[in-house]
Amino acid sequence: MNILYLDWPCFGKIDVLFTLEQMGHKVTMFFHKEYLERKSETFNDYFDQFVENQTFDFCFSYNYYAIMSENCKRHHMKYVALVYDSPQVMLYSYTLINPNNYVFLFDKQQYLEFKNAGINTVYYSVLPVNSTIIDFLMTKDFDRDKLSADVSFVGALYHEDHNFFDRLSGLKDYSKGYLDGIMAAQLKIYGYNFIEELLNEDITKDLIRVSPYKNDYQGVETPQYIYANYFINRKLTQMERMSLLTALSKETPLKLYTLDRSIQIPGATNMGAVDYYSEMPYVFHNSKINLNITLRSIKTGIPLRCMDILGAGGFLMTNFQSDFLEYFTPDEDFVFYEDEADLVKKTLYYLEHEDERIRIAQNGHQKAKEQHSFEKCFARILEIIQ
Amino acid sequence: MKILFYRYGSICEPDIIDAFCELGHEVAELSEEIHNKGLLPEESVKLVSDTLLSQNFDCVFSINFFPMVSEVCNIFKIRYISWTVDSPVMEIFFKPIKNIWNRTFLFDKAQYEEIHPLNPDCVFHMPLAANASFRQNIIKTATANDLKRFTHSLSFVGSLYTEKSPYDKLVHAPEYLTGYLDGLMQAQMRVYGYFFLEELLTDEIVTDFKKHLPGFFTYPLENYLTDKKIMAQLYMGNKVSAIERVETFHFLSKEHTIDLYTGSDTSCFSNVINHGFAKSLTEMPIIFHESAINLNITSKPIRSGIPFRLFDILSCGGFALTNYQTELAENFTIGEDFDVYTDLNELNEKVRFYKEHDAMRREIAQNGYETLFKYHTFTIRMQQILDLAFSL
Repeated sequence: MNILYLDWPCFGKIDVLFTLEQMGHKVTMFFHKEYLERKSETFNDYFDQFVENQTFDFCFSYNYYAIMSENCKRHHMKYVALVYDSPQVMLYSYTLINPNNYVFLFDKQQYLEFKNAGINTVYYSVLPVNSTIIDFLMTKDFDRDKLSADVSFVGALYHEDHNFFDRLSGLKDYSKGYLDGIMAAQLKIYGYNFIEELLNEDITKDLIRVSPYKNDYQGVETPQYIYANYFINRKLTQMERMSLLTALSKETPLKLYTLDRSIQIPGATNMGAVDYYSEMPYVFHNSKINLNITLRSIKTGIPLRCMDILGAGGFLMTNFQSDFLEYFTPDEDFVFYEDEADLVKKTLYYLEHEDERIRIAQNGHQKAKEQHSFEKCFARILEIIQ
Repeated sequence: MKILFYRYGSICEPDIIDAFCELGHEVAELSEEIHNKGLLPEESVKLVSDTLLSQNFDCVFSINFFPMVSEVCNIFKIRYISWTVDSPVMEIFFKPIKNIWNRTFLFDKAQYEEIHPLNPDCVFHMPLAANASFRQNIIKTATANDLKRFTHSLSFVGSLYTEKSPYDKLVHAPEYLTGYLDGLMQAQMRVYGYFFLEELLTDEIVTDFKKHLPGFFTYPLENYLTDKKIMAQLYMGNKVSAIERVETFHFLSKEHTIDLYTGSDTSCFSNVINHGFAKSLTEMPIIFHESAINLNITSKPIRSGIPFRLFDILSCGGFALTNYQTELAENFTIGEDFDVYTDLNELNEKVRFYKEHDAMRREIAQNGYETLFKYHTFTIRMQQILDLAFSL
């Protein structure tokens, strides 16, 4: 088949290209800088020229881009999108129902929300992972001091300057109290995110007053979705990551691999950022325990980070996400913690129980390799679109 | 055995007396408090001690916990067996809970977790029960007219808690405080099986709340309550129940007609038929038996236990659809003895499903009845209680 590939700087590009080529398909790279726009004449013109005199069986991109969907539709091409980001506001576009779309979502709850609303262009898929590259990487030299740890956390702490939540300081006292209340409650609960449904009319009005939000062209997202996911869930993740890492670093050596070098947590070492391809797999493979604290906008899904850890043969310690239970077995393939005390207890336990830890990491790796490879994932995608 | 039953009028007292008798025990009753709610603690002390002086008893029994009865029994060195059937019960936090002659049985594991450390040898967890045979008799002897009158597709017997929420005494509260508490309660309403309100009340919030709630509960004698516990369990728990029940009926009535037996005001609902109070002994069993679906919504202060209402429904051979509570699965098989819901959408869908699946519903109701009859009658329960009470 002839496949058009949207070449934006995403993770997983090498694996997708390699897999499709191994399967005997031809992949043509395509890029235009206005791929993030909902509407762009220059994009459309470029696309028209690009596909002129060529036939593509389908177009593929990581994440969903409305403008790709529209252009594919115009040229009677199928558009396959594999979404790994959350939140992705672009999904809330009326283009999502374009009949040429095949949108694969990794968060079962989000998938069900669309599906139950009668949208039949969405599918549920666990994110694929390359579970063999680690074998090759381990034959190479690497910076063992930098890329090994007892306990490691790879990810953002969301301490950015443009923190949306801080824009809400002008809220009424009642709204402030209400948000603090539902956020405090949400921090106690895994497996069910109620923030969006608890933003009632009055609170939403007040949010709109202090930080106006208006839908873009084609956008059908509700303001509740935006405030819940881009403002509040992000803030919750920041609070949660900070407090869990602080609690853990009191008990055990901890390495943070995070973009912002300025973040200091007593007892933890900030190692700076790691490269997704050339460094991160080593960290996962060479950490006794890899910690995942899911971004709160991911409702039930298995985040890419978890798949990366399992793919690299690392031991995964994560918060509870219910999608795990469909494909993996807790305490056999990975371990989940229920709260801060449980995280500390289980981390200390598995640091001391090497045999169990290694066995669990191997099981998780084996399952990822057998069931969640790029080959399998794309075989299923091709089956669905044909 | 000779048992002195200190009665205060709980609806289950006659059933328990029957169970004791069935087990071959002799029961003497002290019923003063049923008729005289103004009975002073010293009068009750005198009443119990006079009775204990005049005759020999093997133990004293009561529903819920009476600190004064406990004190008397401790002096007489006679076992005081008590069993909670509701929550919150403030008295279990009072100092006499530590008396060594107590044999205190708590129906809710969350209560048990709180109280057990205060008197580790003498506090037990014991789920509630029902009287199956008595109820069956009522149903068997019901007239055709009664059966018809109480036949509904979806019914609920109980209060909406809208008229008895002590939380509503809150006056001139700062906006931030009411916002915070509303947020917490809205969240708690949506989560079954985990009561987190208490953990999320900061000292400042509690102080602020107390300041704006005239007559905030206090107890002059030594006790193990905290203002935080009182605020979460006594004030907020029932308020969440009130919000939950109103929201549940609003939601359900969009699609289903609901027959309510309640003293609460239901004028705000459109698709709800309010029949007023149901008579517990004569009417309730027929309602449970004749309704296609009986709804049980556990009041929130019952944090993990199974309320009487569910046992009642099962004992009448009724089909129950209940909110999730953590202790359900320890005593019954979910989906076989009754069904559960964990959110309003699920409730709505299950109501729709069971309305259309008559045979399945009847089979579940029958299973539920059999399980209850086999493991959860008052006779079985009182034997378990006496065994434990006299094992030390």
